[in-house]
Amino acid sequence: MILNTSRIALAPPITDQANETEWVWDIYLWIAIAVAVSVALFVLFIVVRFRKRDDDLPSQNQYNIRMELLYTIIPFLVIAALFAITVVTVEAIVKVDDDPDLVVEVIASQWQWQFDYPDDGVRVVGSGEDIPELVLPSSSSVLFRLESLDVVHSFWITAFRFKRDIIPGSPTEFSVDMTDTTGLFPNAGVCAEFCGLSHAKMRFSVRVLEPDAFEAWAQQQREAGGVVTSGTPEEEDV
Amino acid sequence: MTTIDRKPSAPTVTLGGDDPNHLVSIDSVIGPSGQEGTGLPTTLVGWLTTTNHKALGVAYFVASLTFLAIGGGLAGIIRAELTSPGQQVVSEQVYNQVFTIHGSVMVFLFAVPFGFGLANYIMPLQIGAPDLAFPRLNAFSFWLYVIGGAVMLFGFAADGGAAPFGWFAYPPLSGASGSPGLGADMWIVAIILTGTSGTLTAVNVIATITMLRTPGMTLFRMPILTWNLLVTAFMVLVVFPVLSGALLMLLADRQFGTKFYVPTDGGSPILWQHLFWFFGHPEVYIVALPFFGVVTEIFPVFARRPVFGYKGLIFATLTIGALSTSVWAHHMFVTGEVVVTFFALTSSLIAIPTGVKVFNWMGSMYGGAITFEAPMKFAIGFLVTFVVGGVTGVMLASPTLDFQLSDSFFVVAHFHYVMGGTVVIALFAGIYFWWPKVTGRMLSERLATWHFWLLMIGFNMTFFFMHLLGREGMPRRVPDYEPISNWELWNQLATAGYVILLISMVPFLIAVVKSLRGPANAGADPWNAYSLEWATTSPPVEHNFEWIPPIRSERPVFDFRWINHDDVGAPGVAEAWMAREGLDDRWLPLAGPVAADVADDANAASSADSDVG
Repeated sequence: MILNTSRIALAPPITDQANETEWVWDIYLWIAIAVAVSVALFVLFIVVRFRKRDDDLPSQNQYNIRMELLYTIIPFLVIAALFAITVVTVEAIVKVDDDPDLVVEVIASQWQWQFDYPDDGVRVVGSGEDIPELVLPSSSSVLFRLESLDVVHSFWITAFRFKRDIIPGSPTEFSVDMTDTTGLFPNAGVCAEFCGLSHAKMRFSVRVLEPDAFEAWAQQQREAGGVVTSGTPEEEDV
Repeated sequence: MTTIDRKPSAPTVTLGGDDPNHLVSIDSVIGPSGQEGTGLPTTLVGWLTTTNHKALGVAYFVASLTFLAIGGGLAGIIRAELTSPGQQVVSEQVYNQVFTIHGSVMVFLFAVPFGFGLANYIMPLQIGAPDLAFPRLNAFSFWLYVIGGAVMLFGFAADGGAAPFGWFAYPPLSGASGSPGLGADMWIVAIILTGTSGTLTAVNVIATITMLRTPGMTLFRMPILTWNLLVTAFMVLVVFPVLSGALLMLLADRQFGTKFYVPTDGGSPILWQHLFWFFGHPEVYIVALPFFGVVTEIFPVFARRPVFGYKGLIFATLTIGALSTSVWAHHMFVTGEVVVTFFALTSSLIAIPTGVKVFNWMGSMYGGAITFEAPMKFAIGFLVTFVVGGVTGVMLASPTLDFQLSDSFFVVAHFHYVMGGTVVIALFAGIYFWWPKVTGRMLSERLATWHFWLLMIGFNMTFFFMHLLGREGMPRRVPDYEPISNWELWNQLATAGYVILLISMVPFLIAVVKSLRGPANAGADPWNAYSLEWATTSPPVEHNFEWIPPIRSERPVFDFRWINHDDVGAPGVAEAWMAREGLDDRWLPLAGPVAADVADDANAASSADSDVG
């Protein structure tokens, strides 16, 4: 599957973890909508049905223990079910892969990204106004090691449905399993934690290549010196 | 009028329709309002030196609404900048200061202090007290707050401008090298000042509620607003000192070369996040609980019902207070340094007592005879809006989803729904409700209706589309964004919503001016309300009460209004009232016509006795 997402607002998920998040999102969203809509409808019913029609004093009954138990226990069960879904999925999402196909070292600094591929001897750095491009192989497991050189940053790729804060002095890591989706995702990555003056400009693009194409790209860059400083070529087909 | 003429209960008790004289009106008991003076200062020096809880209450209301206007104005700059991609209105530097001070003003200088205004003005009236326990401490708290607010705003005049690091000020960005300007230090000092003010007010509120309740006002007869203010005060006492301590460490890092949060020298930036959010999440409830109290006063009155599940509601509030100190790290799911499942559990659980409150509010209306005066319109608007913010809160409590949504515009939408919207909507519900009590005058219902619908439309337009922006990847705190067509459209709708919000204030301000120019003819109890503040004149006399009805439930004014009917009000009220007869007026907090009546009766009784003797 090849995607050009420049006109699609919400990037489609490109990792197994993101697919997990998607179905959890759907469940939560529909329950949230159901709850909000039923409360709104019930309030509407109350204000129509129980508006003052005559001078009779309405019931002054203040307690209904059965009802009170009901509206404590039912929300509890809903919350318990949602929590169970969360626990199951979050474990899979935060699990770090010990034996990844690829390691990417992310170095964040005010207000630029750098991506190192230590196994391939390639380094991608943004320069000036040009944002860097994170190149990843599809259908592979990738381990990200993240480090910040100055303040707190946050590495967020919408297509991953995941972000990780990068706190200076405490390097962190997470893994993803890329799906077979390939494509160019311009501006798909941002810094999500406010990091000072040009926080809004701290972006990067993501390009997902077939594993073979990725190897070819890495070799080509290594032969060309190993340091990529270019921005994303916007209209280039993958 | 005050003689007891009990009627056997009719099959259907009417709201006084067929026999209005059978209901006792407070006005007929205490006489006309506005005869005794209000105790409010009339000179500038008087205002600067007052220790009167009502004067300070009004001062809190005016100051916090002024800060709302300032914070709202700053929001206008943010909306103007985000109307289209690219940078048009302000520089990045100014934008960062604007959103920092917008958030800080709204949280520290508007929302919390308005609750303290309620604790100042309304709470002593609700428990039948003449003032707060420590009036001079109260005045001191107020001036600390105002000075703190001034220090924060004057940051804009400092070299390099105001603090530019967001209202949660994560170091190292907020440290000496991250934000070198003096404005940052002024921000820290300002929040220590307002935090200290809050801590002192909390002490005062707790002392007042525990010590100054009028006889008969047991804990489970306190109005819900007073209960909520009590729980709020305890939360303030637990978490504000933590914030002040964290801020002092930050100030020391910046000014004295300590390294608490400096990672390069062994300090820990994450320590700040723990300390700040240990304050920051209970803070959400510190902001919200007083306003939950406000609407809980309003729903029953305009539905002519008691608070449904009164005790359950109090336990829900206590549960929220207790749980609120164990949820802080859901703000830190994305750091990868907290046990996400624990904090997901506590954060999800807090939805249950919050849901109980929603059911209590609906139960108070259910089966009632509802009328839709301005306070009720706003309270219902609050209820619907709050539920939207509540369900997105449950979504954010799941780390699975929070990994995507954290620090995006989804979060901005969420907390503006729960804090911004509900606080502002409930705040206006409260203003319309207590305005007659504070001023002795009514506000125009027609203008209030305009105000209400414009506010609801403007609010939802401003914040609803931010959910979509955040879900699709727009991070918060950016002056610039990708020119994706939907993003531009949604941001433009949000800005249009902001303009409607702004316009919605016009009918309100007109109503205020018209009301203040009109005659003070609201009377003591214009809404036929329930709690003790309605048993005194509007505005209340200098020491609040010259007369207090018997208190046998959380609705003493309701019970007294229905004293002539069996089985409507709380049992024992008529007996308690009759027991006062024959007592010397030195033993009764009575004055005016009733006191004269009772004194006459007592004299007659004693002379009859002496005749017999």
